[in-house]
Amino acid sequence: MSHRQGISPVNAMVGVYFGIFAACLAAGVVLLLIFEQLGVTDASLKTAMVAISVILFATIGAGAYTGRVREFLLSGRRVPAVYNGVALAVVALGAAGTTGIAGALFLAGFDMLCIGVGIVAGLSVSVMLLAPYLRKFGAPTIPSYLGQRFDSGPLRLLAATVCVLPLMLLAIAEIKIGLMSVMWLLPLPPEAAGGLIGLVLALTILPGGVRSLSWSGAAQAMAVLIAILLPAAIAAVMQTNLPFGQFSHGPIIRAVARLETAQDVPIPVASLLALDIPGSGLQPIVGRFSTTFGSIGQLAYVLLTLSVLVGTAGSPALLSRAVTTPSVYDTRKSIGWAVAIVGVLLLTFSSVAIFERDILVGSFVGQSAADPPAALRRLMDIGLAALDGQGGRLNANSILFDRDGMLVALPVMMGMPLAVVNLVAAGIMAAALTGAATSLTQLGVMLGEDVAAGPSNAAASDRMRVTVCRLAIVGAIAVAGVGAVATNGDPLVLMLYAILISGSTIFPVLLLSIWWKRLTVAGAIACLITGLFTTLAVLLADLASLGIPALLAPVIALPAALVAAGIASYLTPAPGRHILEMVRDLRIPGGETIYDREMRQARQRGQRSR
Amino acid sequence: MAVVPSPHWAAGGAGGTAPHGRQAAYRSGDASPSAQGEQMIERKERKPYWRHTKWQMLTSVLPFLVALLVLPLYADQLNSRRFLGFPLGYFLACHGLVLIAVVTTFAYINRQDAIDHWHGAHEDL
Repeated sequence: MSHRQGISPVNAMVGVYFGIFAACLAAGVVLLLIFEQLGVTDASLKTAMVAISVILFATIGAGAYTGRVREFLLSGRRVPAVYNGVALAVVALGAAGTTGIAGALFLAGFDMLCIGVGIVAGLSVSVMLLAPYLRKFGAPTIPSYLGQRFDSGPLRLLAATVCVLPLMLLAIAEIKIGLMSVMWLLPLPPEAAGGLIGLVLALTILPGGVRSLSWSGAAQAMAVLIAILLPAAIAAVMQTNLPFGQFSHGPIIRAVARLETAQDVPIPVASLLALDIPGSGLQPIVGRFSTTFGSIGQLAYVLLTLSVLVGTAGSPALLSRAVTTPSVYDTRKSIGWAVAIVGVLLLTFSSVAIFERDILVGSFVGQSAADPPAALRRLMDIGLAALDGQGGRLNANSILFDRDGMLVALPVMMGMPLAVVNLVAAGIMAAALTGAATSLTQLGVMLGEDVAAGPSNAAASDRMRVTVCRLAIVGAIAVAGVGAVATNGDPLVLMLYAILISGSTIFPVLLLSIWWKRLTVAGAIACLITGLFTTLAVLLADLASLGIPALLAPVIALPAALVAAGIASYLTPAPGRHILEMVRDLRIPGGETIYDREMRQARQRGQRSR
Repeated sequence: MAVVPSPHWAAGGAGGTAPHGRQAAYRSGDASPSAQGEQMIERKERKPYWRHTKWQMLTSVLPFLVALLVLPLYADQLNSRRFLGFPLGYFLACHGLVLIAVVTTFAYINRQDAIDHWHGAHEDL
């Protein structure tokens, strides 16, 4: 069977390698715990934590060096489902989502669930509608899929232009959180921290492109899971006597609700379409934890869930990683794992938020502001909390918390050893690195393959294509790094903007390209352009405060894009036999991927004409 | 080799017996290269395969979306009840939707894999 020749089987040693990685990480953390007890200074402990994680990730990235195009662009299509799923889960949330959702849940309670649930549901819908079919097609980027699927160069360029926006926004959001965690661990100015992150990103993805990304990303994702789940489990044992806080924090929610009632914590009321997400930086809590629809209106809650859903399902960063598995079935399975892991993380954020609320209303409120409790003083010392106003007794609204720092705040509030606090900070840094690396690799590969080389790249040599992609990745890292250091912006909102752009442009065109055979090139172009411009119109309308919040743009832009695609397709002649045959092939798993076949045929044609 | 799934989902389609093309392919021990190229599946199987896949997709996505949209709207009323110590509305909007997503996804993956096997469209790796 000729199509099997290029496929290398999954490396049987992968489990051993990751066992070694996990053991090294655990040993490092335990060692730091011992050093902490022996009286080593905080600064050296923090530096050691950064060094351990960075060295481990960079070693894995460099070890995955490759000069072959198939490995560089697609990781050889042999990443096992579980490893890919763990990495996909962490990338789907990203560092911005991880810290942002946990913090927003703490500050605003129930209403912020819609972002996390939207991401879980988006991955779930992606399994059913998009990802397996893109894996069957086998193209390394979304624009090259669209370009080949419709046999159109202009569409490929247009799609690349559209994809740049969400990928760049995501990368900037992730690097911003990365900066925050690096500056928390090391005494560096933002520029130096940005340089360090850029260097680590280059070390982890340049040697082997998507191959390095797959393996270092899986390691980083494991570090993130350990860093989030371990402190949450310790806190759960301390608060509920059970290690699974995800399912046992119910009684605390009700206890907190009783205390909040006794302390007269305000109950905000939001209009139907109100959408108010706590911003980054120091914020007071918005209202009671389990009270519904205080900062996000009832209608806006449902619509935001849907917007995040379509945006996550159509996210180019996620879809490009979903196609690196050995088979269509493995793609489905890996996203299934991702759904389960993001679900567990969301429940963990909910438990972390309520544990912190419990400490806030249980032991901070009512104390003297002149002499705050020890846990609050520890938070204030590292800048994760501040007091609003002077003197008197503390109440629930007079303490400000750093939204993006609430995951780090949990071990600090609970008085856990510094090694655990550093582990969480290093975990957030790892999440930022893997999130940024995924977007930037995809961006670089897209610029190298779709924009610079264009449709002629079948004739180019492996070395040429890999070099062009490496240069493009370096450029993307530089631009995103400078963008993250130089601009102000709320990382969570940046991430949500990326999600809404992919939801209103890329999701509809991918959906139709798989499920509707009649879609023509003109239809696809109309779909992308209408989606993009409707989104821009909604953003402008939001700036002029015309009613609908910008984050709900997909609610208008997605139907508009679908209608435009339908009209433009029916106005142009139906697609030819070759295209129809390709769509029928795309829908069925098995056999050679369409991308490989088209590239092989293009190469043969090139040889014949020479 | 031939994995025969329970035919309950196929009631409207193949009527509980494996389609001829697939059986023939298995009997000859050659499920893949047809005259046109490396198509794993018999050409005439592609239509029924896609019909089953479409139904499978619709029956998975639609109830899931309905749950996703309707559940949170009643969270307020349900919060006065209690489940596992949680206010019920909160539990359903958080744990409930996550559980529904996980169950729907894994059920979908399993059923779709069964459909692939039924029509001979699976990959042997």
